[in-house]
Amino acid sequence: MDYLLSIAPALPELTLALSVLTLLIVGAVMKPETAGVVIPVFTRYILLGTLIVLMFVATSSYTGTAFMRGSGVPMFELNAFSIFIKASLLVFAAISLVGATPYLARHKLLSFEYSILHILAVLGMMIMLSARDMIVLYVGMEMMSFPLYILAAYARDKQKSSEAGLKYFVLGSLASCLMVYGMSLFYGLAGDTSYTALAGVVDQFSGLEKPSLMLSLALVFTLSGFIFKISAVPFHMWTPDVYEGAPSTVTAFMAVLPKIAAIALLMSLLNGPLVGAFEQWQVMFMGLAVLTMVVGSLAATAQNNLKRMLAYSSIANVGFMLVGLATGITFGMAAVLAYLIIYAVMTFGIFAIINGLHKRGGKNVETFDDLSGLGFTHPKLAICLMVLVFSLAGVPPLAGFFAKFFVFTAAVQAGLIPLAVIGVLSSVIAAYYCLRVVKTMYFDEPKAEIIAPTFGVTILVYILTGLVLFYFVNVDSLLNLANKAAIALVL
Amino acid sequence: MDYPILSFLTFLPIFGALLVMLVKDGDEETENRNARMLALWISGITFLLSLVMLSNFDSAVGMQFIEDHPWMSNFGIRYTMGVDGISVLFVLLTTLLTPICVLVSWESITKNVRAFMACFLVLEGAIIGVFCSLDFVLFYIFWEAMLVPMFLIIGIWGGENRVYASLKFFLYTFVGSVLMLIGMMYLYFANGGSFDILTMQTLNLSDTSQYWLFLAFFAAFAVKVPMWPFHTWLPDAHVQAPTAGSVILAGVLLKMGAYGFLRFSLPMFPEAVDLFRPAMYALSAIAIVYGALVAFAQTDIKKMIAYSSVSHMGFVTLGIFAATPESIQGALMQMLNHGIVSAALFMLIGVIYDRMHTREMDRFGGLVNSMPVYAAVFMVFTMASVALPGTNSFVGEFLILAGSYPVAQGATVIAASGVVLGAVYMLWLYRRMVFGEMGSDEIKNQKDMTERERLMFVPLIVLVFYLGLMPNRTLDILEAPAHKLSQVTTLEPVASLTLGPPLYTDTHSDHKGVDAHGGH
Repeated sequence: MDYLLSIAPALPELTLALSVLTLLIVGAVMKPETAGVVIPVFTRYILLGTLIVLMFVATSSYTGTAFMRGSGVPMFELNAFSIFIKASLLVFAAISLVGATPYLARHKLLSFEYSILHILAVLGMMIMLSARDMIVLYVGMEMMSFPLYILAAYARDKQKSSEAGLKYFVLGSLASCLMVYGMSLFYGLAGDTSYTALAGVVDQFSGLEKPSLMLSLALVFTLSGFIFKISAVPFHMWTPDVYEGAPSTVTAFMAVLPKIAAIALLMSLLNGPLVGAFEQWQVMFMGLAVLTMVVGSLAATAQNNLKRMLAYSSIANVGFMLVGLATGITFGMAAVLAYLIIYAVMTFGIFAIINGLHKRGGKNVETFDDLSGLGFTHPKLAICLMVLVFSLAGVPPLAGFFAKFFVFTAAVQAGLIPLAVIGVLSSVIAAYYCLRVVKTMYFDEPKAEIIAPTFGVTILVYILTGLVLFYFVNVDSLLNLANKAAIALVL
Repeated sequence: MDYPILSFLTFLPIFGALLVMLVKDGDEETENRNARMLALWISGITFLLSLVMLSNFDSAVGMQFIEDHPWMSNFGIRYTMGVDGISVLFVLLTTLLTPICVLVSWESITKNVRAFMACFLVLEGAIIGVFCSLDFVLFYIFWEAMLVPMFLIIGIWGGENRVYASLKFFLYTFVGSVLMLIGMMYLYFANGGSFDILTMQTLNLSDTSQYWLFLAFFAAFAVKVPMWPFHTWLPDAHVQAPTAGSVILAGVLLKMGAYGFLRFSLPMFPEAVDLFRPAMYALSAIAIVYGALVAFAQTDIKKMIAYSSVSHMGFVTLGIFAATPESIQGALMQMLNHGIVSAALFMLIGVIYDRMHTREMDRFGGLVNSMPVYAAVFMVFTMASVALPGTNSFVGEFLILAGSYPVAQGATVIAASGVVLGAVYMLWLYRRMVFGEMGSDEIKNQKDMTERERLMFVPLIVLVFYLGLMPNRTLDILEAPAHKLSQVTTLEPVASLTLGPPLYTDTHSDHKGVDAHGGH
């Protein structure tokens, strides 16, 4: 019993793992056609159930550390920060499944493994967020990545999808290698893999007059792995190709969930064990933020394919989040958390519309041209898409404006005014490609016949758009939650 | 006033827009007519409401009709609204021009009427919001939100090259605004965690930070005014926008930039204003002369009026940065006048464009033969535009020039030459279009203005003469804020002695001096 109580903080992960394994067996014995329809429904309930378990644990007294090693060093921790991130991951995973089903059915991809892979990726993310040991972190990270590689190649008959999967796998593995190498350097310095030991060695070395080469190398190698996952420039090359090639619903998933997880993980590492090396990593992240914002925004303006455009747009948005991360202050972290949530809502909204619309014969809406005249053929959806892209451009009073507002206010507070100026200027560049979407929908004449999405997807679009549109009514609630999480992080 | 009249004024049009979008009734014809009627009613009620506000306005009190509610407690952002002498008349101008714009678009907009009317009402609400906001974040939200409907108005209902013009309009103004956003965040921390505009005006900022902040705000306001050389979006936007879009653009949107200078730059960064003053004089003088010369070279009438706006707004910025009581008062007056006169000129172009579908000056000539009423109305606004004594523009330009001369002789002399240039191109335009030989049979057969068209010019004509002959009531409203603003800068007028007693003092007897000129 004592042992059971001691692993209570990991209860959500255990629930998810056990149910996903059960589903795997159930799915294997069922008829493929039935399984393809039934299992995705189950998975939504499982996600919901896990969320309930998580909330139950969060409100109980069983948060904190679990899985102690011999010397009382924990390998796992559940705190306010990881609760916030895990809850949002579970919610957004469920949303992405709702949006996915009609698309998959249209493309005859609706097999039960799809949703299982979804959940496995989420499980990996949750584990890596709670890790207090580099080995656990690495296992979680790979557990997140492998399902994503498979999902990217899910439309295996399509050349582009296979290419995307392969490319993602090769480059992702390379990034993992870099990260593991960096961790091995840390291990060499500390003689242990736990965060506690890591923090000790970072504090010890950054206190020296001359920065230690070993520490810098370890820092750079370890962080490159994460930077690859969040596709910050210069580790972004895979993003447009993988986003374009993967089935669109997978793209939506990849544009949001791994980003949330990886950025949250970066935050917890940088503000946790690596906080002693603040001066080193701040410079690094300021540079990354500038590069990512500018390159992402500029490249997005040149795209004709909607998915590639959104890929670069997600890169640019990561750049804005890195501005908040580089501030190193509590409010900056809260700003990034709020940004992540708002970004997720906007991105899912846009993808739900683009994945839901299709041409006669089930072909996808892929280029700008396919959207032309949408304002007259599908006025309601076009208004939703307009609201969402204006929000992406950061036009007030939409949610996207507040996301940027938080991040840049934090930057000004931390004295990083040049960074904030570069940030707002790249948001003007970003406005250009957002306006192009509106222009195509409203200023151009309709070309191809476009068929509306299913009822469920339409409702999802309305809800997400409503959240973006009316966020200004109650800005405080999200920010309060984010603040609470950020305070737990910085402690 | 025990009800939140400013919130009503702001949100009535916005909710009205929702209502217009919801109108769905049978065939397209009925639907369009209902949308037009509804938009006219909503904007009309808003106008009446703004008259109620004006009648309760007390020019002896500063900020009034104040509303203040907490909004985002994490940032200390509040929902604060209020108007003073600087803003109240622009609220009124907006509410007056919007129903007129609805009338202007009555027949010329035929596709997506519902969406057009909704865009216009949202635009009206956002503009009123800009003038009423006393919290910087609230101000910024309205300031930016206003871009969206205007972007759509130009882009959907505009001319051939509308896409380019709308994108240019949006991105140009966006660049300026985001720099102001950074400045606003800096002020937020300097102001001890509050976005309250009124307390920001009392801050003692260091000189260096004032310089940077001034430049950041300048980026936003100079584009909006537009000051030379940031004006290039304006001719494109004007030419491509539908008539109503041009009317509201010239009438109110340009005033938002000048309003920004008065509300933020002057009281918040006095040291920076002193430092940059020569540059501002130079830019204003260049704008006046350059705008007039370029206007003279145009063959497209709309483009000509657009460049004349650049020229006229040059007077406004000259008056603002000269920062004497008279010049600021004149600048405010000129903003109002330009809002009336340029709006009317764009409407006149719209009237003839609806008939002949061209804006090329060469195609016109001898309009007086077939359209006598049109010619007469055009005459009134041409005269108002060249600031003939007796019309409203004279009061504004005279006050600006008289007020600026003591502190900026060079720029004022150049500006005065701009008055002459303005007369040259406007009279030339009038002669080419209205008199002379009839260009074609097409002109011979034109019908004169309809009842609806006449009706929409009536209030503007009344205002031209009311403000021209009896400016006292209006100047009273502008007086207190102008005095207050002129006191924040430290520059001594160098030549006030040579001019004798101050041109303008608090007593009413001195208004008569202006009136006497006006009466000639």
